[in-house]
Formats: sequence, C-alpha cells, structure tokens
Amino acid sequence: MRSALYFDTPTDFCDFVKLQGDKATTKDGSLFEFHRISHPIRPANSALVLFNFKSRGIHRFIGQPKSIQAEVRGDLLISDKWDHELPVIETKFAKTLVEMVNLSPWSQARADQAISGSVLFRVKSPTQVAALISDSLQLGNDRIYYATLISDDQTDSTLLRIDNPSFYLIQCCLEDRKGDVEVYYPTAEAVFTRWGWEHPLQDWWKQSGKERESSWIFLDESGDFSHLEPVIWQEAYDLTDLELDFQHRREYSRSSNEAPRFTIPLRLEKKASGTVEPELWLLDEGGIAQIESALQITDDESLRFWQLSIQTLENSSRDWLFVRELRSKSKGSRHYDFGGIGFARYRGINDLLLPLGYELQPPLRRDVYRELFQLEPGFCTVLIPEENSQFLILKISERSFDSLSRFVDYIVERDAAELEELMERSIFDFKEYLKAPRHPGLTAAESSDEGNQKKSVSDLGDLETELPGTTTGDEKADGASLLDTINHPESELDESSLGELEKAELQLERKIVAHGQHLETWCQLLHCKNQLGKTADSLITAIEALWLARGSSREEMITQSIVTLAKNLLEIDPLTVTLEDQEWMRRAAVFRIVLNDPLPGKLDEWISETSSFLREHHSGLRAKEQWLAWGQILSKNQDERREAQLREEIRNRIAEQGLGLENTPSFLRSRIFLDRKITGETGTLTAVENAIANLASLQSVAEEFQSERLVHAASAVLARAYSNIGDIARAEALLAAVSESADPCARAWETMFRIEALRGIDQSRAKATDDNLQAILKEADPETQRAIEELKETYRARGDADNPAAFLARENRSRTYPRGPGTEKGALFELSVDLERHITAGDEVGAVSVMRAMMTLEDKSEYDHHVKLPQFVETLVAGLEKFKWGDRGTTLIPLYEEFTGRVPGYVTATNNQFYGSILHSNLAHGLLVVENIEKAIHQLNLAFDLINDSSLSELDFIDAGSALIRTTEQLPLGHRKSIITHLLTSFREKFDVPHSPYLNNERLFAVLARSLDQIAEAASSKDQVSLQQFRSYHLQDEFIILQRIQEESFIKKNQS
Amino acid sequence: MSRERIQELASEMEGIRQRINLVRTRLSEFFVDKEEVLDLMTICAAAQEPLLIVGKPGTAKSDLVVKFCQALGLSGDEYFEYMLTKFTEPGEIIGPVDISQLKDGKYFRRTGGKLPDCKIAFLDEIFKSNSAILNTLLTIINERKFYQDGQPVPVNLKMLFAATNEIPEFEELGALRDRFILKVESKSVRDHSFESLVSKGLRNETLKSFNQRPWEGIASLDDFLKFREYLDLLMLDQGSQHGGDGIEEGKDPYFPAEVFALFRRIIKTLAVEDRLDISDRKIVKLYKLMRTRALLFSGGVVTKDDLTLLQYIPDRLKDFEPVREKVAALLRLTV
Repeated sequence: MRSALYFDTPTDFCDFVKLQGDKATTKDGSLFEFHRISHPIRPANSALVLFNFKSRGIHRFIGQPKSIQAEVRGDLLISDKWDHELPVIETKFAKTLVEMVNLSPWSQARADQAISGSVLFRVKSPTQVAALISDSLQLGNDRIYYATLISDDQTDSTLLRIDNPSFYLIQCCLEDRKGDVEVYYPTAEAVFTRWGWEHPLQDWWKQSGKERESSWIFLDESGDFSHLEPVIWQEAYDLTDLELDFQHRREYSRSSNEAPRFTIPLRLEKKASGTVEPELWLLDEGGIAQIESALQITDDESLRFWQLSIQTLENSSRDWLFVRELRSKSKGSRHYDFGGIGFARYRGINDLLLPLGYELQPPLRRDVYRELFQLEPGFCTVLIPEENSQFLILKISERSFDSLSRFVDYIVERDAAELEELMERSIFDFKEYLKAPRHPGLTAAESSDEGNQKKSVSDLGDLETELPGTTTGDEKADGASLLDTINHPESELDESSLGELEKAELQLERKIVAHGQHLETWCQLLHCKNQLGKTADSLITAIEALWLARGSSREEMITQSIVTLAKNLLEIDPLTVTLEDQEWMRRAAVFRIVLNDPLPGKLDEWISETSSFLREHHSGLRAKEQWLAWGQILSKNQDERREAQLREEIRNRIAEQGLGLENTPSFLRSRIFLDRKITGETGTLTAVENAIANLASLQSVAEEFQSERLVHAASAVLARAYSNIGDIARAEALLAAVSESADPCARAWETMFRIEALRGIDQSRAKATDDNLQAILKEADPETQRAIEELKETYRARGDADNPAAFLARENRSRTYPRGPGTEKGALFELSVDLERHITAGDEVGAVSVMRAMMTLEDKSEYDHHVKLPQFVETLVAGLEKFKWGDRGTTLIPLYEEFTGRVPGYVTATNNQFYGSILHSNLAHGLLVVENIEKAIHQLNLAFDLINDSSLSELDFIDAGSALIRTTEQLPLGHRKSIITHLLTSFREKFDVPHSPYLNNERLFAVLARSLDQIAEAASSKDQVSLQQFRSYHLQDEFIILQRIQEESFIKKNQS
Repeated sequence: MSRERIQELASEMEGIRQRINLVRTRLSEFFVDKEEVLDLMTICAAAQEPLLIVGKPGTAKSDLVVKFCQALGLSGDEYFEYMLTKFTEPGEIIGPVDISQLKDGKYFRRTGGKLPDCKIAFLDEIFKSNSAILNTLLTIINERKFYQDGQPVPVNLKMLFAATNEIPEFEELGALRDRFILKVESKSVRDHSFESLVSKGLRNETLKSFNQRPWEGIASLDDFLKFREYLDLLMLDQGSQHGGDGIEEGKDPYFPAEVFALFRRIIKTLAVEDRLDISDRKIVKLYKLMRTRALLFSGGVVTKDDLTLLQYIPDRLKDFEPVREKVAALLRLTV
C-alpha cells in the first residue's frame, strides 16, 4: 500500500490545492494520481484519494486531508482506513494540482448545446441589471429573478437568475458586458461554474451535494471559488418599474345602463342543397282521392304508420287534410307521397315542421326556435307557404291526429255482386221456407211426407237405424229426451209454428254457434236434418261431424253417411239442378268419388283419375273438405310432398285471409243473421220483452231531463229504438209527447231525430219530415247546419253498417289507446307483441305460453301502468278468444278468471278513472269470452263506478261510457238494464245542467246525441251477442282446422 | 488599375444605384405586397447570388421573374426559363448533344437558348430535378461552369432565380439547398389585399393583352454587372488597404464593429437555439449580400437594417416565420 491523502469533499480538495498552489510536487517526479472513489460512508457521494503527493507538512485548515495507506487494484481501492473496498469511479493524472481545480473551457460541442435550465448573472452595475432585464423581456423571457448580494468588500451586486435565457443574451454578457456581468451555470446543487468553463472535478461536485448548507459556491475560470450565502429569489418585476413609453391617458369606464337589443331577421329561404323525406303532407283539393289512390297499394299493416288530421281554419271554407307518417328510427321512411305540400321536421325538432326545400337562416340554437315559435307540448307547429310569399304558422294539436286505419272503409267492388248474392242466400227466411213448396231436388222418399212437414222428435227414432254403422249404447240418444238434453237460449222467432224436429234443428244449430262444436251435437243435427229430408244440409253436417270424429268409433258410420248422402244427391235429375245448387253438387260428387274404394289392381288408375277430378274441383271446396278429400288419395299414394303442399296452402290461406265465410255452413250463417234481429212479434218472446223493459227503464230516466234539447233528443232516439223492435205505438207516443221548439236550431235537431225515429215507423212520413228539415236548416246558423249534416251522415253510415252500435263505439274510441315510447316498452309490451304474432300465425302453443306469462308476471310493477294495462288486456282477450278451444287454451280460463280479480289492484294510481273503467270493461269482455257472465257483470259495475266519478271530464265520460256499452251489448238482453239505466242517469247528471257547453255548442251536442243513441241501441240490440257468437264459432272452426292439419299425416297413418 | 476602375465606376454608381432601385420600386407597382421579394431579387441579382422563391402555385413567382427580366431589357436569348420535373433530362436544360460532333467522338452540347448561354435563368420546381440535373446545376450555380467534352466551360449565367412549392428535406438535396443563401416566401395576398389583387391583376392582364410593358428597360443588365464589379473592387481594395482580407471585426469601414458583432451573435444564436445549419460558405455569402444591400440601399456602410437579410437564411419553410421574428427581436435589442 502507498501513502495517500483522502479528501472528503471537493471543497476540501479545492481549499487544499489553493493552499498548496503551484508549489506542490510529486514524490518522484511522477504525475499526481487522483482517484475519485465512492464515499466510504455515503455511497451516493464521492471522495478523492491523492497519491504521489510530496508532503511538505500538512497545515491545519478546514477539512484537512487525512493520510491513509491505500492501494488501487483494478476498480477497487483498498485502504487501512476502512474494512471494505471502495469502488473507483474515476482516475486522473495531472502534472500539477492546479490542473485539477482550474476550470477548462468547454468543448465546441458543449458550447453549441442549447441552453436548458437556469443561468445566473452576477451583475455589478444597476444599469446593467436594467439592461439585462429589459433585453430578456424583449426576447420574450420574463422568468427573471433577482437577489441582492453583499460581497466581502461590502459592495452591492445583484444576482439575476434567468430560466432558459437567450443564448444571444449570454453572448452579449460575455462579450460586451464582460467586466460588469459574470455568467454562471449550475454545476451541482448550490455549486455554480463560470459560463463557458467546466471544472475537472465537475462530477464530484455534482455528487457531493450540499456540503455546506449555509453557502453557495461559485467557481471561476481562475480556479478560485467563492462562497455565497444562499439567496432568496424575488421576481424581477418587483425590482422593475415599468413605465409606458408612449403618450397615453387613463380613464375608467362604467357600464351603460342601456342594454341594446339587437334585431336579427330570421329568413325562410330555399335550401341550396340537400333533400329530406317529407313526413307530413297538406293535401290539396283532391286530398281524399289522393289518399285513396295511395291506400290502394297499401296493406293494412302499413296503415298503422299513417295518421290523418282534419283541420278547419277560421277564414277558410275547406277542410285542411294533413297526413302524417309515423317513423321508427330503424325503418325510416316508407317513401310514399301523398302529393300536396310536404313538410319535414326541422333540424331534428319534432314539433317544428317546415315545407320541403326550405330552411331558416341564419341557423340558431335549438332552444331559440322553441322560444321563437312558442313550441309547446301537444302541438306541432307547421309553416305553410301561402300566396305572396307569406307563411302561415299553424299549430296543430297532436290529439287531432288519428290512425288512418280508423278512416278506412273497405269496400268490395269487384266481387260485390257475388257477395250480395251470397248474403241474400244466407239470410234464411225460415217462415218462407216453411211455406215454400217442397224443393224439387229433394229425395223421392220425402215426397211421401208431403203435408206432414212437422215431424216429431220421437220420429227421430234410433240413430242406429237411421245411419249406417253402429253406435255404442251410451251414445244412443233418446229422441223423446232430445230436447231435454239441449240447453237453449231464448228464441227470437215465432216458434209456435215449428214442429218438434224443426225446433230441435233450430236449437241444435244455436247450440253449435253459441257453445262450440262438439261431435255429439253435430251428430244430432245430422240426424235432424236427415229426418227433415234436407239432404244437402245433411251432407255438409256429416262432413263437419266427420272432421271431429277422427279416431272415434263414429268415424266409420259418419263416413258411410256421407257416401249415402252423396249418392242420393247425385241421383237428382241434372235438369232440375239450379246454379245455386252447384255448391252441394260439387261436394257430393267429390266425396262420392274419393270415398269410393278402388278396385283391386286399379289403384294407380284410381289415384290418377281421382286426383285429376279433385284438382278440377279443389278450389270450390271448403278447407275441411279439401283436407278430407285429398286425405283419401294421399293415404293411398303416400305423396308426402303433396300432403305438405296442401297443409301449407290451407294454413297460409287461413293466415293471410282468415277462414272465409264459405267455410261456415250456410244454414249456420242463416241462423246467425236471423238471430240478430228482434222481430216485432209480441207475446211470450223473452228477447222483445227484455228489450222493451230496457227501453222503459231508459225512458223513465229520460223523462227527468230538464234541458229541452235533451228531452227532444232522448225521446227521438228511444222512439227509434222502439220502432226497431216493432213497438210502433210506444214510438208514436214518445214523438207526440214532445212539443216543437221555437228556436230554429233546436227545432232542426228535433226534426232530425224525428226523421230517424220515423224511419222505423213510416218511410213516407220520414221523407216528408226530411224535406221539412231542409227548410228549417236554412234558418239555422252554419254551425248547426254542419253538425246536423254530420250526424245525419253518421246515422246513414250506421244504418249501412253490420253492427250499428259497434260503429258508434268506434267513433268514440279514437283516443283510448295512445301510442308512443311511454307505452311501447316493458315486459308486458314485449309479451303483447309476441302474442299478436302467435295469434296471426295460429300458434296455439306459443300463444298459450305467452298468455300465461302475461297473467303471471313476477314483477307486478309491470302491471302498474294505467294506460298500458287496458290495452294489454284487450290483446290478452283476443288471444283467449282464438285459443280457448284447445286443451291448452282451456287451462287458461280459470287463470284468467282469477287474473281479473287480481290485476286491478296492481295499479297504484287511483285517480285514473278513465283508464280504470276501460280496464274493467276489457276484463269484462274477456269474461264474456270465457262465458262467465256473473263476473263480467261485476267488472262492468266496477267500470261504471269509475265512470260515475264526478271528477271525470265530459269527453272521458263519453269515451269510457262507449267502451262500457260495447261490452254490455255482449250480455244477454236481460242482463243489461241495470248498467245502461245507471249510465243514462249518470249522463243526465253530467250533461243536463244549465249553461253546459255541450248543450249550447252544436258540435258538442252532436256528441251527446250519439251517446244517447248508443245507449238506446244497447237496450235493444242483439248484434254484439250474435256477432260474438259467430266470431266465437268462426275462431273455433279455424282452430280445429289448424289443429288437425298440423297433427295429422296421411303418410304415417297408412304406414302404421 | 483597380483603383482607376473603382473611380470610374464610382462616378457612375449613383446613377446605377438609382436605376437599380427604380427597378424594384417600379415593379412593386404591378404587384401586391411583393416588395420584400423584389428587394431580395434586386439584391441577389446585384450580388449575383441565386435566390429561391418559395410559394404555392399562383403566387406570382414566375411573373416576378419575368417582369424583372423585362425590366432589365433582356432579349429572348438572354433569359432562360424552365419548369423542372423528375423526368427532365440534362439536355432540356443545357442543350441537346450535338450529334454531328458526337460522330466525331466529341461530346458537345448545343447550348443555344439554354441555361449555359443565358444571362438570367429561372428554374421552376427546382427541387423536382433528378440527380442527373442536380449535379449539373450545382456546378453551374456554384462554379459557374459546365463541362463540354470533359472540359470546363464558363457559363454566361449572371443571375439565377428558382422557385418551389416546398423545400424538401432530403439529404441528397442538401447541397442544392445550401446554394441558395437566401430563401423568401411569396405568399398569397387574397386574404388581406383582395381588392388590390383584383385591381392590379386586371391591370396586368389588360397591359398584357395590349402588349404593353411599362416596367421595361428601367435598368440594364450592365448596371447590375457594374454594380457587382464595383463592390468586388471595393472589397479587394479594402483588403489591400487594411491588410489581410480586411474583413476583421473592428477594422472594416463598411461593416461597423457593433454591427459585425451583432451579425456574429445572431448567427451563433440561430445556430444554437434554432439549430439552423449555417455553413461557412453561407456566412461569407451573407457578408457579401449585406454589403450589397448596404451599398444599394444606403450608400455603403452596413447597418443593423441590413442584418435583416438574416431572416432569409433558414432552409425549412417552417423555420421562416420563427427566424424572422427572432431576428427582428434581436435587432431591436440595445447594442
């Protein structure tokens, strides 16, 4: 090991060198050897070890070096001073000591480096300080800080620190201000080196950190270093007085009290480019024709997306027709054009519509449009171009828009003649039938019965002898007890002239219609018709029975019956067959052939000929007949493809067009249409008595009307109702009791109602009164004229409608179910959509599953929507109507009955009388579908209780009452009196008040008149009952057809 | 001899200066906001240093050069103009090879009407030239010669103006970039001088249609050549008077010390802070250009104002504006 000197800090070393000066020498003339090592105690720092120093005696000074024995081996220093080796960081050799402390100039590369960080300027002259600060500011750098120094010689100087100063500035200081400004850069913390120079031990300085917390060290190029107390920097702005070196004056302004308003004209201009699809149209004069033209190519489904609004303006003589398209975001426009003027929403604002090709300039913020055009909820604002470049800003109520489907009446033009003929043939005049001579086409066996048309039930005899085949004992029907086994509703016809068999036939037909199709009933009816000699009807009855007899023991017997009947029919003299007989002739021929087994060895020939014949007559057959007939062939030829084709054809036809009317036996159609009417026969006919009782109850309420106008209206509608059921005397009495009013408007109303009443009594008097009305109307005001004409039109249309009460109800149901995002969401909505789909597809399994889910939702809050819930119930009831027949469907009936008691309780909003009553009316309708009259009446009473609430508005009363009446009309006549009487009483309390606007405004009065008419119609109408029964029969028929063709396969049956 | 020549030229110098200055002031009447470009064109023409005009199509680059040449009264053969593409061959610039001489084994080009024969040249889209053109151009620009049959032949080219839409930064074009000491941007004026643009543009169109050139013959090429000669002689004489090359800070009578120091510092600052590539050649050329400007505009002594030429030394378009601002700021400082 060698002797060495150890320096703890670079300051110690610099002090040492300073002291030694140039006179320090090495021991043997070698170079001074310097090793910078890792500090033995603070490894992050460094220390220095000097070898070869020739000591001339160590003077005591601060931080004196320590003498050590050490040796460098490779990268490590070993010493006796420390017990561990110390890494050598750097080694240098120098001739003199001062070389290790004198600053050396930067390399060119270092000099060309851009400046980063702070630079210190030690400035002696205040003038130079100002110049430096000014120059730095001019060069865009104000990160200038200063500190005032007092040096050892008590002279003041200023230390400036500029962060990232301009290189130019430094050059200036180095050159021009050389004596006055010294520039330093930070080498290490608290250590600053002269600009342009670097210390040989620079790195050591960096690592040494703050050696003396109380001083900064400045290293000069001469090697000297000075200490300075650490300074506190201050912003140069604090040192600087800035003055405005230009002429100026100062002034304070104050806010003006006057706030100017700026007027910017908003122009409606033609757009330069860009087209949008219109979504609203104002139709021109030929608007109706335009709509009809467009609708001819529109399907019913698409009508949902179109709405119509009819507006009148004060200064316009014509109605303004607006057609609007409802668009879904996913589907966009349907690209129809209704002509006229098209409008589209402007800049996405739903309730502001501009004519196509126009825009508002300049574009504004959306809320400004709202304010400018005073857009309000419930109205859409349309800018309509007028003459002279003027625009009408029209506000249209959203509620005025109604679905176009409500305005569409489908009329058949092409097949009208045929259908009318069918209708006429379907309306079976029983009495005329009884009186008519025997049909020449009937079998000869029946001629012996001429004069003995009335047959006795006992003549039915044993079914076994009448029909080929055998029956089991328990299926034998005792003729004498036949009537007892039949539970029949009231009869509207004069049955006193009917024989037992005719009565039985009548009751069996009613039973089929009212209570569904059962094999037993069809068989009994077949027996009746056979006995009555109605061969053609018997054939179709047998086919109906065969459809239900699949797999039963009666199938063979019924099949044989068909063969016999067909044979009999075909033996009729062809010359006596009329055109209208072709239907049963075709039927007979088809079944005669298909049920005739092929001869042995002639199967292929039989298949070919039979198929050919069947193809020829296929389109004239009913759905069941097509299936049964082709089934005979398919079971023999095993044509799987044909079977699938046939199945698909029948299913698609039913899905697209429904089960046509021709699929219902004509005698049943006659039964239904006939049962709609209540004849004028008096006596013990329950229906008429019930109707009269209902009307009398209404009359007693009407007699308490205070308003003369209501008295006239009520008397007239009741008189009309009486006349409809044949009670002319009561009708006349009512009309006579009403005196004529002096006021022309009131007299006009009276006369109009009188006309309607007289139509049922005496057409000539009705006509004369109509002429009188025209004269009266000329004296009445225009509004009265318009209202009366509209009501007349309603009555006229009502008279043409199949179901007058439904017609009236339809008009009042326009606003019952709102559409929109509020209702079209949620689990219940999703299920409803699914159910509608299953109903359309005839999917019993799917529909039943969905209906079950609809009635058993776990999240009861789904039901808590007073607007959605009635609508969903209506959909549910439609599903019940269609699918209640099957095994799966029947399981829903008790669930639905239980559901009706439970579901109203889920609605927490208790102040919604309107929708609450609609809900109960719809629930009642469903209960009638499942034939639970008692619970239906209970629901109707609940509906009425809500309608009777005084907080219900007038129009809501009318609408809700209409829905109530519509359901009430499905009840038997004898169950209606209480409901309709209470409703009329409530009506009186609501509207028969002095100064009621409904009595003084003609249009509103027309609404009241319609409502009265509907109540009166409900007292006596059987339309709903009969039509409901027919509908029920029809749906069941559809169901059993789809069920059978889906399950049955002739291919498999044959193979098994 | 040079002293005599100096005196001879000195007697003409005032008139020459006036005419040359008239060129730039007169031409500026027919352009909108192109005084800066015209000043530089005049200075560079006087110093016989190439100038690069940078600008988008339709910013009057070609028109400036054409009118400038017309102002000097140059004839057709004395002026050469060409738009370069990457497909341009040397023959299009310096002339086709003389076939007849080629048969004799001599590689001569027929330079009539081409770059070597002209006095003033305008090369549009100069940076689109390919390497074959590049080498030839560099030799012509820098050494004022080109090679005929292997032998250097001096070219007559006195002034070169070049134009480009943009200045590419490819390394291989560095030498060409460096030849252009000064680069100026010809900007579109429609945003701030729309009316003047339309007005003067229409006027120029009208003059053109009537074949009128009111700017023609303001000065002559000879004026510029004499100007250059005078300056060169001055600098030569300066060196002989003061020893060495005479360009020593503090001893140059035409370049005061403080201005020289400013020049030096600005160059250094731009090199360090803005990383401008300022070669030694460029510094010498800049000195000469400043002397030219000083003589042309103010009679001879370089002032701080002449140092504004330093604004035009960046090689990249994106540096133009920052360097302009910085030089202006540095020149505003107290010296």
